[in-house]
Formats: sequence, C-alpha cells, structure tokens
Amino acid sequence: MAKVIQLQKGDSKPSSTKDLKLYGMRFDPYSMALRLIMRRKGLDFDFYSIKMSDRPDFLQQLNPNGQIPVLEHGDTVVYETIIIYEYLEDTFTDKPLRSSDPATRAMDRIFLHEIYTNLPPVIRAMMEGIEAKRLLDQLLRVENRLQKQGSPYFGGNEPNYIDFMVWSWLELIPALKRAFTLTFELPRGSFSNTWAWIGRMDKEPVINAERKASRVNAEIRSRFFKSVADGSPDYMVGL
Amino acid sequence: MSLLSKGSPRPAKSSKPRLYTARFDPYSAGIRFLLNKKGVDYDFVYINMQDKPEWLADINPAGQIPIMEIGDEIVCETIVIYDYLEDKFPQVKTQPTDPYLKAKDKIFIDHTKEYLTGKITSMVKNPTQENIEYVCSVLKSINKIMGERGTDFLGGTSPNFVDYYLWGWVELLSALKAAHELSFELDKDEYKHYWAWVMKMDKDQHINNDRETHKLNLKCRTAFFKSVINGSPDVNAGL
Repeated sequence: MAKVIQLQKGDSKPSSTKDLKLYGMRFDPYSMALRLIMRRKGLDFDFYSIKMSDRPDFLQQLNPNGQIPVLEHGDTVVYETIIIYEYLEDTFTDKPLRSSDPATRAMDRIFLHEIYTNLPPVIRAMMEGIEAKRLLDQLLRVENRLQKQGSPYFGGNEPNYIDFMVWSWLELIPALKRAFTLTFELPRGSFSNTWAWIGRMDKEPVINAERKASRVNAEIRSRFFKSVADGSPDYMVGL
Repeated sequence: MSLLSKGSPRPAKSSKPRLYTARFDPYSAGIRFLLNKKGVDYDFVYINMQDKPEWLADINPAGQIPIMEIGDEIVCETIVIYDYLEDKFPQVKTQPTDPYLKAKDKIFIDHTKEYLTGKITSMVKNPTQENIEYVCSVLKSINKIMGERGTDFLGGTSPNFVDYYLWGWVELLSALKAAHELSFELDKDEYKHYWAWVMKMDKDQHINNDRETHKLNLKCRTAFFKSVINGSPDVNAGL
C-alpha cells in the first residue's frame, strides 16, 4: 500500500531519488489533475501532500506565492497548474495529452480557461449551500462541449489533459453533496453526454490507481470537507 | 479606417489573418507587435469597445478583444492567441523552445497580469498615491528580473512575447502621467535595467511599425486618456 507523505512546518525538503517531485495536497483538485496526467504519461514521480494550514518554510522558497501545486524536476522548479502541465508536455513528449493541431489546441486552451475561471468558485461555494442554477450553468459548458465534439472524451477517443483537469473538479461534487447534505441532481436527460462521460472517466485506470495511492474516495473526501467547514482541516483523514 | 460599433455589420471574411482590435487596447497591442515580428501579413478591424457591435458576442462570448481570425479558426484570450500564433507560424520564434524557460516566461506573464495590468488600468481613473507606489514596486521587481536575466530583452538578444506583452502596458504610463499631470519618476539608477530595456524597446522596429499603422504617439494616447477621464472616450483621438 502506497504511503501518503505529509509535510508541514518544521519539515525540511525531502530527499528523493526521483527526478520528479510534485508538491500538492491530497484533496486539492489542481494537484489531483496533475497527478492523473503524470500517471497517464507514465511518469515516475514522488507526491508530497502539504499541510496547507501549517506550511513548511521551504514551500515559499520554491514558489514565492506559497501556493501549490509546485513541480520540481531536478533543479528546475515550476508552479501554476497549467504552466506545470505545459512544462511536462514540452519536456516529456511521449504520450502527448494535447492536440498537435494549433487550432484545436487553442480551442482546448480557451475551453479550459473558461472552465477554470468559472467552475472552481461555484464548486467552492457548495460548502455554504447549493445554488443549483449557477452550478448547472457551468456544467452546461461541459455538456455543450461534449455534445458538440460528439466523441467519448474531450480528447477524442482517449482522455486528454482537459478530461483530467475537468474531472478533478467534477469529482468533488458528490463529496460536497454528502458532506453538507445538499440535494442536487444533474438531470440525466439534458446532461446525457456529461453522464456518459462521467461513467467512462470513473472507470479510467489512472483515476482508480490515484484513488488507491492517495486513499481518496467520496466518503473520505466528504469527511475532509466537513473538517474544513469546522475550521480544522484534516488533511490525513481516512489514512 | 473602419471602426465597428453597435449596428455595424460583421465584415466579410478576409483572405488574410485578421485581428479584431482597438487602437488603444494594450492587450491587442502586444499581439500586433508579435504579428509584425513574425512577419504575418494580417489585416485588422477596430472594435468600438464602448459601443460594441452585436456580433462580437457571437465570435467571443466574453465580448472581449483581441480576437484572431484565420480562415474558419477564431481564437480569443491574449495568452491563448500568443500560443496559437506560435504554433501556427513557427518560423520566427517568439517563445523559448526550452520547456523550463518557457514556463518561466509564462509565470512572468501570469504575475504581470496579476499585479501590474489591473493597477495600471485603475490608474486611468484613480491615480492615487497608493496605486502609483504599487505600480512602481512591481516595476522594481521587473527591474530585478531584467538584471538577473542580464540580456538586452527578456527574450534574450531580441524581444519575445513577454517583452511585447509587457510593453503594451508600460507604454501607457507616460501618457497616464501626462493626462493626470503626475510627477512621479522612476529613478534612473534604481530602475537601471528597466530603463535600459525601455530605451531599446522604444526603438524596436515592430513597435514603431505599429505606431505608424495605428497612428499612435504620446500626444494622442494622452488625448485618449483625457477623454476617458472626462467620461466620453474618444477612440479616434488624434486621427
């Protein structure tokens, strides 16, 4: 069983034999997406979960903003989720997870930009209750795009980085519903493409491998969200 | 020069790449410098952002410029356009090919967007001491980065996309000073690297071609800002 390593104040930067180190947090969707992408690209990496309420000092040295995720590759340090993704893609060109066509690539970037600007605030707001209309408006972007593409995944016949980046946010919804007993159902009829996509993603090997490695599931996630709402985030819940 | 406002029909497709822009828009300016540098023969139309044509929302739901249109491909969002143009016209490089250097440049742009552009925008209407000091402190960090890079331009021996992005914004400062009759000065020694960069950028042929094409100089920029301050923006100032 893989072990989740947490780093907090007082901890020094771990020594690792691996060339690639990702600093994130078990439940953080941004670093989750990068973990999925790195697995899918077949990269060998160490993941460190940062106790965000009590951050180790070295984090600030790696990223002056003190934010996660941060990627260390040998002596190279890169931060900001999308920039890390592009760095990985440029550096490890095997198994590309983006289109090689400039226009498709640009469309994907625009779509992700829209999603990442609009979806996270709505999902975070679920900690305070549900605004079904706001959420449905955002999920409609996902539905419309999948319908327009007419393919099983955003990436076509296989998931690409967009699939993983969107998934890592949508996966939070069931846990939030559970944690705060929200009644929200994504309509099966008008969101049929989204539902079909969720069904496929849920079976993705890398997603399931990551669930195992981080010991994260909807139940554990919901306990984490509750602890956040109670003011004392339990980053090691369920371990 | 056609200025398209509410009620103006959408122009017929061009056989050349087309930029939807506005004369005084700093985001578009960076893209225009870059198109010149890449030697792309493009045409452009001006959008009256105070009174937008109805169809603007059809090509960019966010209703923003710049927008790049090449054949059937429409791309919006400044940074996405930079990447798209780099993919589409790879002959003249305007981004590093090394993944790490590219990531560093992207982070630089991210920070500029986060800390500088908003403050410069708010200086148009609120040239408060606080805003001015903030802008100066950001430029000081930029001065430091320029010193560390130790090259003529952020892009090395010639300007790259980061130089052009930044220039689109800092070029506004002298016009803002004139419009508001502000007296702040960036010290020549303290901001040595920044000033050296400004002098070189000011002579860059692609920037100067753009000034000529769009009839831009300090005088008309100042007149434009004055008109904005007075509440009736004159997008044709100086024409």
